[in-house]
Amino acid sequence: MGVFDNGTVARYWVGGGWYNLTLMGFFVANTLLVGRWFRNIEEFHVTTQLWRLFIIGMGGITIIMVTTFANRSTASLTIYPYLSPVFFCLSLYALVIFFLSSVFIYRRFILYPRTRNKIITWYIFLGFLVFALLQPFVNLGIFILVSFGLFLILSLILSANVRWIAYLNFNQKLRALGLSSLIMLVIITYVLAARTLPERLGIISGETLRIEFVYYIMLFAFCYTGSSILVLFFNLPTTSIFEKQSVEIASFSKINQAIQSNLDFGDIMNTLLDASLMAANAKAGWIELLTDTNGKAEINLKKKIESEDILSIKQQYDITEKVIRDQQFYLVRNLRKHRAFLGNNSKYKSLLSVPIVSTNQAYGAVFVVNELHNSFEDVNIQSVIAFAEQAGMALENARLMKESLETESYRTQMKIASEFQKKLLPRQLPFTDQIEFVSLSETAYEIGGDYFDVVHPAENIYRVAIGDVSGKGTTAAFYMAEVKGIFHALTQLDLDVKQFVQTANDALSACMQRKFFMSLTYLEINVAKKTVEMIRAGHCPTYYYEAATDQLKECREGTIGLAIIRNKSFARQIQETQRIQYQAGDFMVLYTDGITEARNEAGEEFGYERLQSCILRLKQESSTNIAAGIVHSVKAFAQSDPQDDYTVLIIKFG
Amino acid sequence: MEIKENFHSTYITLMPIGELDANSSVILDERIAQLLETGTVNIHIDGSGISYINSPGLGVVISYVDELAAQGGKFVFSDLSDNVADVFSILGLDRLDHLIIVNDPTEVEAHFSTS
Repeated sequence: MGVFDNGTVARYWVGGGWYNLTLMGFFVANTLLVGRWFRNIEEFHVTTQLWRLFIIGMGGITIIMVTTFANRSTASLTIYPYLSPVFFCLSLYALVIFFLSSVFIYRRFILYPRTRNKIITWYIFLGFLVFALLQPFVNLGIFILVSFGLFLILSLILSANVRWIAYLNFNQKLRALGLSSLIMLVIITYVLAARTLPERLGIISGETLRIEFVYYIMLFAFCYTGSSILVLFFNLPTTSIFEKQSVEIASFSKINQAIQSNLDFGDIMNTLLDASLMAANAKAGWIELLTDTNGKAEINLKKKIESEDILSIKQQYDITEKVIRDQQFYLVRNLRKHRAFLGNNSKYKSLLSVPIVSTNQAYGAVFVVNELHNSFEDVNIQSVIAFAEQAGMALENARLMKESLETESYRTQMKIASEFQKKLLPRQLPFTDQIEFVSLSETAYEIGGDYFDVVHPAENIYRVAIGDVSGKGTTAAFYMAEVKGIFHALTQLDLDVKQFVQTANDALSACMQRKFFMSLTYLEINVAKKTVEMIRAGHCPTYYYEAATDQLKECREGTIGLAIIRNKSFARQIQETQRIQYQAGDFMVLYTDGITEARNEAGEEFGYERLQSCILRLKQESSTNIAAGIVHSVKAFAQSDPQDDYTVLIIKFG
Repeated sequence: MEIKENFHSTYITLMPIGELDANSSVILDERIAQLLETGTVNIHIDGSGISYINSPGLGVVISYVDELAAQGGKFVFSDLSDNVADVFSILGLDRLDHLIIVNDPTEVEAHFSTS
């Protein structure tokens, strides 16, 4: 029953009367008010918050001073005796508001950044404050002191949470230190003013009033402000190092951005030099880059140093070449005493050079110099190396991007050339009851040197040319375009087959470089007479299938290729043309060497024999199927895309 | 591609080893140009090492025929493999006066001594 009997209750519950209860209500109401006020302030700006606290404090002090002076003025109090307690209440209010503000502002500081443990500690702190509010009503005897001691420990623990200081720069720290010191003075002023507080409260109320709550928040504000002042003060000297580290990180991130965004070459170099100067604490520095023309290093960028000074330091010694060759930094601790730099009379004594290289390419080197000897430490050197590596990557990236754009542009150009070249070949070949022409062709590159054309200059007459300009790719393609022009002009002249070949040889000899030539097979077909007159000038043998005898004939007779003999003696080489009298159902297979010279993985060529058997196998097929069948067989044999341009032209007679 | 060489009293023997295509024929081209500069115009090409020849390779040979002839020299080809000989024949190079293809390597010297 113990605790519930009247005696026990009387022992613990002392009661503070209505005044104490009113005072508790006053404390609770203001705590809620101030707490709400500061909860709405979301921004976390240390100096602004400290400044705010200081202003509140100063405002309060002003109120206390004014009321104290007014109180002492006996004249006014004689007239208005009731003013004294009013003045006193105002002072108390100012004091409470200031310390509550400090609690809530420091709460924001302590919880920066928020952690679970800190929040728990904060709630315990609040628990103590509630306990302090209840103290006037409970008789705890010695426990009041114990509780105060525990609260002191808790305040000290909370005061250790000053991580916000680490994020301030030197100026901000200095300002925060000044403001915290002023706040400390304000706190001390309040503490002095509060000494007589209970006594005066007693006089006013006529009762013993208890203000443990005020003591508690004063203690906390004192501890946290003191702790902040000490930490700020001892942090000041190391701030510059942290600031430097953070600038280094920013430089790293800038160079990294350069890697991703392909900054301008000059920007990368500028960032690298700035970062290196800062990381090495160097007085001056420059960057040398290898030139494209002679591979020699030249000064690309210099800061706080003149070219003459650089030359004077280096003394003709090509340090860039050395660091690139060694792929390692080069450090001279004292230029005056180093053998390689004898005669150097510059004011600089320490030199550090770090190569700028990527995995594939060397770009140059970054140099930093200092007036003091032995002034570059390992940590400086490592930072400069890291910057140079990052810059190397950025440059590599920029180079790859440029190459990729150039390749893209080249591809586009080649695609245009390819489209254009396709237009040089006949789009639609004659396909009648009397005669059918079917062709299939492909180039090894976007553009090629194969050429064929069928013209129909007169009724019953068809002139066919198939040829191959030596070589592949662009040069061959250019000549192919010229060939097209020449042949079209010649077909208008109504030349016979021999004359055509001879004139074509003259024309091509005049326009082709000496290392180029052209193979050609030229035919004139008369569908009325059912004759073919043909000449083979160095071109692949033509196959002629005679349906009546079921024989495949290889037309090997011929002359030398065009533009090989570049004088009149070519005429002597042209023998009689080959004449064929054809029947319906016969067909001819003309092609370029991309067919017979297609090679498989073993290096074996498709050759003439495979082509012959392929044609014989397809002899009953339509002209379209014969062409497709030959190409299919060649591809199946080679098991790859064409290594050379190829063309197949089937002429089927009706 | 590699070119083996052998100097004789009236001519030089070049023996290209490998394929004579667009890339490798540059080496032969440079070597022949050097020989011409030094006045060596009788060139025997031992074809036993040529496994394959295509049009750029032929272009190199053709481009020097007239020049050698102008200076009283010539090409003599010997020991050509069947497929290489076939390429020469289809293009009609066997018709050139100053590009001689011999089947019997012992005939090479005779062709130069008569020139």
